[in-house]
Amino acid sequence: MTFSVKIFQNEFLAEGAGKVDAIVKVTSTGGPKLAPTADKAVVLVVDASGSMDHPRTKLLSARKGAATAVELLPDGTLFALVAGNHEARCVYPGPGQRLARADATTKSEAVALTSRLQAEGGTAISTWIDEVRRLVEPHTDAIRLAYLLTDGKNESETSEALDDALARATGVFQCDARGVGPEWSVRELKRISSALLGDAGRIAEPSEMEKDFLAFMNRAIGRTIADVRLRVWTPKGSAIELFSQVAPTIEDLTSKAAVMPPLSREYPTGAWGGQEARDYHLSVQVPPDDVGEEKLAARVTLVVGNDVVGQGDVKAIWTEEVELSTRINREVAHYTNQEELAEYVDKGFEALEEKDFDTATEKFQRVFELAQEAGRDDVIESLANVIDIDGDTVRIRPGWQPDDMNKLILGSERTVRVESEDPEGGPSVDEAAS
Amino acid sequence: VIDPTPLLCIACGTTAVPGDLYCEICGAPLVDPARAGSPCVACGEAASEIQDGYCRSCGRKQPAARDSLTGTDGNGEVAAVTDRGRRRRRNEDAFAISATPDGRVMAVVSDGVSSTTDSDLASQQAAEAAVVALRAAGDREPADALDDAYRAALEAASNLPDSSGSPPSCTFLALIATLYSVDLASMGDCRAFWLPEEGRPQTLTEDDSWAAAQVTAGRMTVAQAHADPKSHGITRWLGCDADPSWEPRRVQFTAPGPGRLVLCSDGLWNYTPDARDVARAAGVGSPTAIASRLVEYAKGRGGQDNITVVVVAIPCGTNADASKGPPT
Repeated sequence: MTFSVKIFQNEFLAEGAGKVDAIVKVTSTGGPKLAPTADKAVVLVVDASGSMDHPRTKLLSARKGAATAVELLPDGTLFALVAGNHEARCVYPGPGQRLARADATTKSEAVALTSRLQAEGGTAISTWIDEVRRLVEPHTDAIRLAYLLTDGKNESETSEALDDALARATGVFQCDARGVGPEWSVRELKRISSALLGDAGRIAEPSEMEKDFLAFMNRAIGRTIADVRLRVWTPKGSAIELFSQVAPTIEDLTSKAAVMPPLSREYPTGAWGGQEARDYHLSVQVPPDDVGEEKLAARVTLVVGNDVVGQGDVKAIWTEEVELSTRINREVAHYTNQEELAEYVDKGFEALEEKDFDTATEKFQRVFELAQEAGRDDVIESLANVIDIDGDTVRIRPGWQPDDMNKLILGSERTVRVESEDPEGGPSVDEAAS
Repeated sequence: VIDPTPLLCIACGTTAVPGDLYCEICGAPLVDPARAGSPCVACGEAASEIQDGYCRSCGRKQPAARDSLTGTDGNGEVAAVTDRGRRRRRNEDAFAISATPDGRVMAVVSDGVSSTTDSDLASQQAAEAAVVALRAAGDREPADALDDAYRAALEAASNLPDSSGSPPSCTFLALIATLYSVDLASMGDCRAFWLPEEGRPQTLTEDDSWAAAQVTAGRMTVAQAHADPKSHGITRWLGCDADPSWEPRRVQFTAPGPGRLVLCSDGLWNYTPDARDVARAAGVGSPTAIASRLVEYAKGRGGQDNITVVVVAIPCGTNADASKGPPT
């Protein structure tokens, strides 16, 4: 597998300016077959709380989805099936057992046991996380991936209990989190997926559950390179103000940096497949230099294990040419707009939670404008469930549902990718005056 | 042959063509060999922390080879300095100088038109091609040799690919001097000044510029024309979009006595528009000393543009044939 790192930016700064924004596009090519063979551990965690019975299709679809996922496991994959309510129970290979290795026998045993998934009790997700950790922790060389499905809020324990479990699991395994039905909390789901380098998603109808299990398994099978990190060097006296994944979803990684003395920081990106494209937004404040001078504002290297597998340079060139320094790079503008969109959705939701309807209305009005600018019809459609737009008048719909908000939040964080030309191939920028 | 110091690529060690900005073999930015092993120009970080031409501590790009180049002949009759100045991000000026054993001194100055892409390549290749043609002309009449040089420079500049719709282009000023006899060909706005040891300094060339056209037409005074934002627009240049009917301006000058000839780009004469200003800033001394002093003068006044200065001692070629006396 090979990686490429490409930088998109306007490197020109006005005199005295020091903020440099760049989009880092990382792509992998070559496919999984060319990749080194690492063990893979996959754990499926299915909500088995009492609410999964209401309607019963949730539980039935979850059983079916889990069974389909198990059948899809390539032979040799380490796996387990966990049922979660106010406590976690390893359904297969069994309580206290270690991960099973997939073959015809173990898979059919596991599929048979999906019928043991019952709906009863409450929800304490920390116990689910701890159980996955217990199962995968011994397999330090494996790519460790989990899929966690819930239909409700984490109401059987304190918020701190979940945070503690997530802290213990960070760096041990990655976890995608899914909510089904109208009751789950998007904030909780995102806490899980953000901490564990996964993505958060909403399953609108129980009937869509099997498809989502399948999609997860396909992603999991494709992930062949573990522990890929982005290392960002910036010059002395500078500060990284933002380092965020912006495609396929917005995921702020700024606070996840591991400091690498003297001048670098490393951001985890988890495991990669052979045909992936992820984009990142780097915003760095560097000490301004004299007009005419050039500085390296950041050097971004992609690191696998101890090997550097890709590199891109972010530059800063100070100029008096206003035409140059005021240019806005297309990629930076594209993602800045979408980041702003997601931020306003979040602020609007926050205001709604605090029953501050004036602020919420104002924020959602801005969301509407940004979504129009960006051509995000999907966001406008979700927004219409929360606010009523009549010409210039915007008001919160009195009957808005939490699930409408879940859909809006997750939808606004899933970005549309911008097609870019190779930065090396484009026309070079030149000074304008004689 | 007088060429600028050969350059070594700090990344792969390849000898590079003088004036190149990047190594042809590995693509690393070239660094002046005088700077190899030097600490960071900005923060003083140790040379071991300079990587790919950038300081690994403060990030500053280290001076590229072409940011500052000097050239001189063996006996000090001609010296050249080109410098990025203080405000531009690259040096789009170029010079080439040479001297024959029988005492003919040749020099070319070219200024890349900065509204075009790759104008740094245009000036570089035009200057090199011109000096090659001047040398190849042997002892032919200076007028014919300069004609060859202009054609060669025009062809070199015109052959560069146009990657962005603003084709690479440059100005041109070439000199042949023997003893007191000076022949010049120019297109664009590089200038030649005569600074006699005794007597009144003179500007020998005319600019192909908007400002010069206004003054010639009597529409503006020199001061008014140069105060206009359009003053730097040139009306003739070398490049694939140049008018084929254009011919360089020719000057034949016989120096009345010993002195210094100064050829320069507008990066200098912006600060010394009159020949007397050049003379004051130049002071006295060897061509090398004067060339450096004039470049430092322009940088001291702001260094808004790239600066190139070539200084020729008149009479020149006296070592080659001492029997020839001054003109009478």
